Amino acid sequence: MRNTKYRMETLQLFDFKGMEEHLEDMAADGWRLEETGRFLWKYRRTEPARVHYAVTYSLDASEFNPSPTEGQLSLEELCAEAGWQKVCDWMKMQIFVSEQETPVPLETDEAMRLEVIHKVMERRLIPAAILLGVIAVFQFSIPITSLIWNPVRFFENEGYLWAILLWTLMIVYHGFHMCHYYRWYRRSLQSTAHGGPCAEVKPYQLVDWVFFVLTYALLAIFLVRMLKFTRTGVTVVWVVHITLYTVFLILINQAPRLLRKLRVSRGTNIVVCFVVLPIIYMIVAATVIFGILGDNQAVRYAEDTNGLPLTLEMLTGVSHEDSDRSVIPLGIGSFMLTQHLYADQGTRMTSEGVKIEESFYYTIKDVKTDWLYGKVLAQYLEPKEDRDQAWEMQDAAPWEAERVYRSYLSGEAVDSYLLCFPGRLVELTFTKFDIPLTAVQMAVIGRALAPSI
Amino acid sequence: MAREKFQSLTEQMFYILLCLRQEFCGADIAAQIQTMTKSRVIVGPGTLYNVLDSFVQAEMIVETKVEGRRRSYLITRKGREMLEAEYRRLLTLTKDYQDCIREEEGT
Repeated sequence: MRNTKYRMETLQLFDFKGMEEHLEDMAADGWRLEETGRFLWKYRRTEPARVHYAVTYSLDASEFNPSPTEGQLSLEELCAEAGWQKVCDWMKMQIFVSEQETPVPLETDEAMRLEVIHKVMERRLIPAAILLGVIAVFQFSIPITSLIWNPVRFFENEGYLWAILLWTLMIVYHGFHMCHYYRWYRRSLQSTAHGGPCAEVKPYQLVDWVFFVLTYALLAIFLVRMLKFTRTGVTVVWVVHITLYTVFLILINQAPRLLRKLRVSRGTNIVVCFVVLPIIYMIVAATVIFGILGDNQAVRYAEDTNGLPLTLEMLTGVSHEDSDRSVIPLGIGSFMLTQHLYADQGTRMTSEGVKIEESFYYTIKDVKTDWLYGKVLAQYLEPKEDRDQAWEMQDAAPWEAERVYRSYLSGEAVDSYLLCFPGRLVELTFTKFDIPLTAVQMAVIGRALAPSI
Repeated sequence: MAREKFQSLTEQMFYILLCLRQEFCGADIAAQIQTMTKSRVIVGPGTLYNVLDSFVQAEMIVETKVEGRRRSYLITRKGREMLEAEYRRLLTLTKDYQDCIREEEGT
């Protein structure tokens, strides 16, 4: 039979009454609180008993202090005189227990209690809100700027959309917490002004659980979509990234308590938690992630022609030796835009008995809306002065496409074509191939690369 | 200058200040108030701790000595002024009450 158990407690710091009632219920079931933590609270098995728990707050208490402050010791002394024994503390919350049947209440002035709770909450909520705000602005700025100025780039990477979604969820959740607290504070102020007690805290553990489940469900959906749109290696990177981040969050939440046990000074504790650990996290994350990216070229080699819609063999009617075909998803892609790079190279014998090497590659961009299609096409066609490159329209009929453009560099035709199909744009480049193409080859290309209806 | 929240004192604050005309440690203050008021007013240790801390911050009391975890306090001139002001406020309330009752009985 286990003598200790850990529970994830989602009670709020200001919910002293909920905390007291919960701990009394646990004690009645034979579990006494032993230690608190950010995520998990430790309980010890005892004989079921009706004991009283009381919660108060000490403004000079801190989770970074190596030992209780003089103020905390003074409070403990006062409480001990009144029959209350300190159990443990949780941030600035001090938890006491009394075995007496009717102990002296720990708090007898509700207005004073509310004032202290409000100071504790303001010291906690406001810095957290500022920190979240700064991070959120940083996290939002890149995708939003991209959406406004370069929507193609935005939709090339579904990660942007997910970042916005997850950060919005985070802000809504913290906003909810703040509103919940301030509503409670306002109701408590009205009540205590008339000599009444602090207001009841409406339980909303469900919200915490919903947020927790929703966040990880969204991350799971994100990873599944990544697997669908993108190369396996990138998905592995994201899985590793999310796992590392979760470990980092747990570590940074546990670190102050662990360092406290090691009697590390307050200043060192703060520096370790807010400077050293984040730096270590960034170094480890970067090393692991770039290590994976380095080892995994994230290329899915096409073993057969089924992997490529168009192959050299289809164009020449002859199979190639040393054939090397690859499919490389470009970027993460999104539900609005996906793009893949296909390449094929190999050697074959000509009818004259000469061995020649041939190669070509093409990028297929599938675009879901006309608006984005127009943006992608415009991005292709806009003159690139730095390279003196331009696209000139060709006769599309032989290609069986809607429109076809050929690339010109400094006024000279090069072997790159842009084929426009409904919902699809294909940029095709022949690196080693006999040009000009025949009408039959153009038709083969058009049919092979047109989107299937 | 006393903070706005001490423009009037709660009953518990009043008795804490009243006790501290003599030097007392925290636990003794609670016991003293209980005796003084025949258990009518009880000051919980959490409340006592926070009130003492607020009074020290507002310079209405001073910490006189520390013996182990025990801290003793004594009222300051500012504290006495606050106590006096509260006493006068209570007298005004009492006088207003008496005037009303007399008026009622006189009619």
